Amino acid sequence: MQQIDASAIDAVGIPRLLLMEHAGLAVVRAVHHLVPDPSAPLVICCGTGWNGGDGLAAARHLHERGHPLRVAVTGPLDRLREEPAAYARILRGLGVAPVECLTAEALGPLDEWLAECRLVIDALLGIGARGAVREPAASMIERINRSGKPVVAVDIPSGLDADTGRIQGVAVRATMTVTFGLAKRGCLLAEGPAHTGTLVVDPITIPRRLLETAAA
Amino acid sequence: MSIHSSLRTPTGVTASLRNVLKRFERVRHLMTQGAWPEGRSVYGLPKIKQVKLKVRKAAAKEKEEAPAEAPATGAAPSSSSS
Ligand SMILES: NC(=O)c1ccc[n+]([C@@H]2O[C@H](COP(=O)([O-])OP(=O)(O)OC[C@H]3O[C@@H](n4cnc5c(N)ncnc54)[C@H](OP(=O)(O)O)[C@@H]3O)[C@@H](O)[C@H]2O)c1
Repeated sequence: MQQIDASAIDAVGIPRLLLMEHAGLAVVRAVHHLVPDPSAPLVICCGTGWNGGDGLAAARHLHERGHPLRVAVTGPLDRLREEPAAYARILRGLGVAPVECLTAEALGPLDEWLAECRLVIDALLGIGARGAVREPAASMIERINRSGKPVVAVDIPSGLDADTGRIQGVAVRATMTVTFGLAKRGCLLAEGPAHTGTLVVDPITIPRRLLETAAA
Repeated sequence: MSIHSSLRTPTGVTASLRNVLKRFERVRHLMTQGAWPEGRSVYGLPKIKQVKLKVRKAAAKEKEEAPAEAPATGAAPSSSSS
C-alpha cells in the first residue's frame, strides 16, 4: 500500500495533502453513518504520523458540521510532518486546538472526554507502525476500548499488524474501519476481523489503475 | 438495517448457509483447507460454494419404523434377492 501511495504522490503527482483531505472526508462519512446527530461530542485520538494526519483532516470537517470535538495527539505538535502540521494549524485557527498527550500519566482528561463523547475516532497508528505499541498510544488504546463507545478506526485499528492481523500488545476494537485504497491483509487475517468491525474501503482518489494493478 | 420477516431464517442457519461470504470468511475457509499460501493477496479469492446438507427424511423415517418391521428370528433378510 505504501508503494501505491508513493506512486500516486510521486509518479502521478497527487499531493499528499489532497489524499489526506479525502481520507478525512471518508472518515467523516463513516462517523455520520454511525452518529448522524451533528451535535454529538466526539473524541479524536491522533498519532504523530500520516495516520494521525488523516484524523486531524477529519477533525476539521467534523468541526464545521457542528460536532463538539476533543482532539488528542500523542506527540509534540511542533514535530508533526508537513501535512498533519498543516491540519493542526487549521484546527488551532478554528479554535479546536489539538491537545498534546505525551505520556501515559498525562492522559488524565481522556477518561472524562471518553465518558462524555458519543463516538471515538482512532487515528493513532496506521500501516506505518512497527513493533509493540509504545506509550502513550498503548494506554490510549486501552482507555478507548474500556470506554465502550463506538470507534471508527482510520485505515486499520491501531495496534493491529497491517500484514498479519496480529495484535501488537494491545489493539483498538473498532466498530467500523475506513481503510484507504485497498483492504489491508491485517483486517482479514488472525485477530483482524474481530478488531476491524465493518470494513469500508475508500479509494480517496488514488487512481483506479494503481489499485487494480496492486490488487491483481 | 432491518430485514423483512419473510426473509428471515432461523437463527444460526443464516450465518452457516449464506451463499455470499465475507472476505475474511473466505480467507478463513481457504486457511482451514490449507489453500492459503503465506503472503497471498486478499483480492482475487476463488469462489467458495456453501453446500447445504439436508438430512434425508426417508432415512429418519426408516429408523423410526425399524423396530416395528424387525424381522422375526430366523426369517430371511428382506434384501436377499430371489
Ligand atoms: N494522506 C496520505 O497521503 C495517505 C495516503 C494513504 C494513507 N495514509 C495514512 O498514512 C498511514 C501511514 O502513515 P505513516 O507511514 O506516517 O505511519 P503511521 O501509521 O502514521 O505510523 C507512524 C507513526 O507512528 C509512530 N509509531 C510507529 N510504530 C509505533 C509503535 N509501535 N508504537 C507507537 N508509535 C509508533 C511513529 O513514530 P516514530 O517515528 O517515533 O517511530 C510515527 O509517528 C496510513 O495508515 C494511512 O492512514 C495517508
